[in-house]
Amino acid sequence: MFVVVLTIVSLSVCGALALIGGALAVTLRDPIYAVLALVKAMLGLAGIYFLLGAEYVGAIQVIVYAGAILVTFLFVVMLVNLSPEDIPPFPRGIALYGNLILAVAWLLLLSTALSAILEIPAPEQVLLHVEPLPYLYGTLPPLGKALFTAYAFPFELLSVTLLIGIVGASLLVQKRPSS
Amino acid sequence: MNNYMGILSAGWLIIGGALVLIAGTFQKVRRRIPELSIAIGGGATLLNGLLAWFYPLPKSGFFGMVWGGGIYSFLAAGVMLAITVGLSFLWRSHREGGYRGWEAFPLTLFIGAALSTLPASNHLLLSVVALETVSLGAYVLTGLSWENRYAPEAAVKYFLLGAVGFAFLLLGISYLYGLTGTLYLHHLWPMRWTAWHGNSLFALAMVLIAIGILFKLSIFPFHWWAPDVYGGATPSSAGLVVALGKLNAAFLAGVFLHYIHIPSDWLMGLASIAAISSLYGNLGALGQTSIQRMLGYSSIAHGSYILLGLVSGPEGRLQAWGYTLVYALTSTLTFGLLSLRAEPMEYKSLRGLGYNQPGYALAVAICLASLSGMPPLIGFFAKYGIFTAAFRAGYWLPSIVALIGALIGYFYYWRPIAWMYQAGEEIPIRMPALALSTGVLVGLGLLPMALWGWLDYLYGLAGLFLPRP
Repeated sequence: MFVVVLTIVSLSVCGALALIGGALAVTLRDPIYAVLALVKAMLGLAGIYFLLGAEYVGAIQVIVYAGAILVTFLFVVMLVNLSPEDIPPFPRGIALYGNLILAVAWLLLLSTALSAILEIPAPEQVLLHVEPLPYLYGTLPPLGKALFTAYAFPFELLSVTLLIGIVGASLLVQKRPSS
Repeated sequence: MNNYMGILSAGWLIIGGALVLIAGTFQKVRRRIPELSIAIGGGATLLNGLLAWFYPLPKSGFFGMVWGGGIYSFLAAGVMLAITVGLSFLWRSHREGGYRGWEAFPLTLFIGAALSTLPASNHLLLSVVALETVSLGAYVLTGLSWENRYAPEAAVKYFLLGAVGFAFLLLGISYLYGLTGTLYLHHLWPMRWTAWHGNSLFALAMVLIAIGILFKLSIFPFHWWAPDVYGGATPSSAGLVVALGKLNAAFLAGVFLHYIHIPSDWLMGLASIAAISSLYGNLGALGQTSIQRMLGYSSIAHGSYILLGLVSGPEGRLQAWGYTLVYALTSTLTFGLLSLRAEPMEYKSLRGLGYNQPGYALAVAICLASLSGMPPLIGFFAKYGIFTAAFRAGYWLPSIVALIGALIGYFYYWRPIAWMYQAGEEIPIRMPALALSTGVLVGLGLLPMALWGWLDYLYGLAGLFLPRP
């Protein structure tokens, strides 16, 4: 019982961390602070992964996202040398409508989640067979096995996605020849 | 266990595209990149056509991840035909200058690889990866032109709004995974979905997925990006961009509605949205003076016909897929033929085309007439199939409203044709009319029953008509 309560409390703390980080990343005026707030959101997500038993994904979340990708973001932001004064203020009408829509969406989402928790059917009522978790669930061996057998094709297709990203970026930044 | 038929076409295109990418780094070969890419795309069309002909029964392969042969190869052949036609128009504008580099050709081949995988996917994760790969390529193709000052704006708008739509879709699918614990479509098929009906988490997942798909299909409440993006896109690739978006959404939605049991009143709601969207798109297109903006508004209307087919049961999904393939080919041809300059054109700049270039003007007129749904052309048979299926499925009111919208379509599709046959100055066209592909369009229109019969046969063999257990 104590472990369950502890897990729920830690999950809530991590979730709140991720949520606040995400909200700050959108609302802060200084781009560098926004990126740092995003780091906080990523760390909160990593904590959730750890608590749910996906240790490997949690570790990757910290190393790749918080460590590598956001540092690249930080470099880009510093390279562009944006200061808060350069960013035009958000039009007030749009901000007002945006906040209203966001508030309604949040209320809907929260009420749905609450009622869903109360009325969720038991798994055996819906699923034909409930699969047990694999051996060493959440660690590297089952993940590696899945990536290189059943999920090999989507994995390879993702590399095409990245290739399209690279080729597309090199296309769009080309300057017109001055002939 | 491993059947490689499902990845044959994708493998051909990915390897071919990568080779083209490497070949392009050599100065001598670079001039020949467009021809090479068109040959690879045409080869993929042929390969898929042969697979569909010789292996009518689809086989699953690659650990049950992807289907090959049969209907899936047929759809891939249709997709690759549209993409090859799109590549040939890119080639023309590329030769005339005003467009960014040769890398657009291998990029389009990679898009083809992902798009021919999308309908054949047996796992929602693979579907989502393929969908995003296609979308990413489409964002780049939108902003290819240097001359057109609207193109970068359109590309950024498409990228941001497409990402928002994709986020909705992904969130919905992750909720679905949370509910069911699997994303394999053959696991989703036999589930007792009625136990979920009325559950609010299921409703939330479905609404999020529906928003994502309606975004991609540019249906009325989520359409606002379509006129700006398609109206401002690079003229010669705009048709391909429109086709990619529609094919993406139609394939994913068709698979989705087959494997997941949706309450019938929700389907009625979607049909009503389609009817409103048809009226909105057609009325919006009526007031336009720019050709590309008109075609952008009309793409909202065409998305609504596709949606109307998709919600009308197995028969309707078959018709919707057929319609999407026809629309993809026709819209690529129409936008491509009308991309006479590197910037969006007004109706009145077409003046005189019918006298200076009779063959070319005739091709444009046939394409526009097919889009509007003139009887001897294939566009008519595709629309006829959709509306018949919708009537049979019991969507009386939405079908009638959408039909009224389709009738409004005749007005604005025929206006450019009228402008073409008015006297005016000469428009230089440096390439002969693409008589061949227009001929294909007419030919397909004259024998639609053979084509539709083949599609029907393959669709049935794949078990897509089967009633739910």
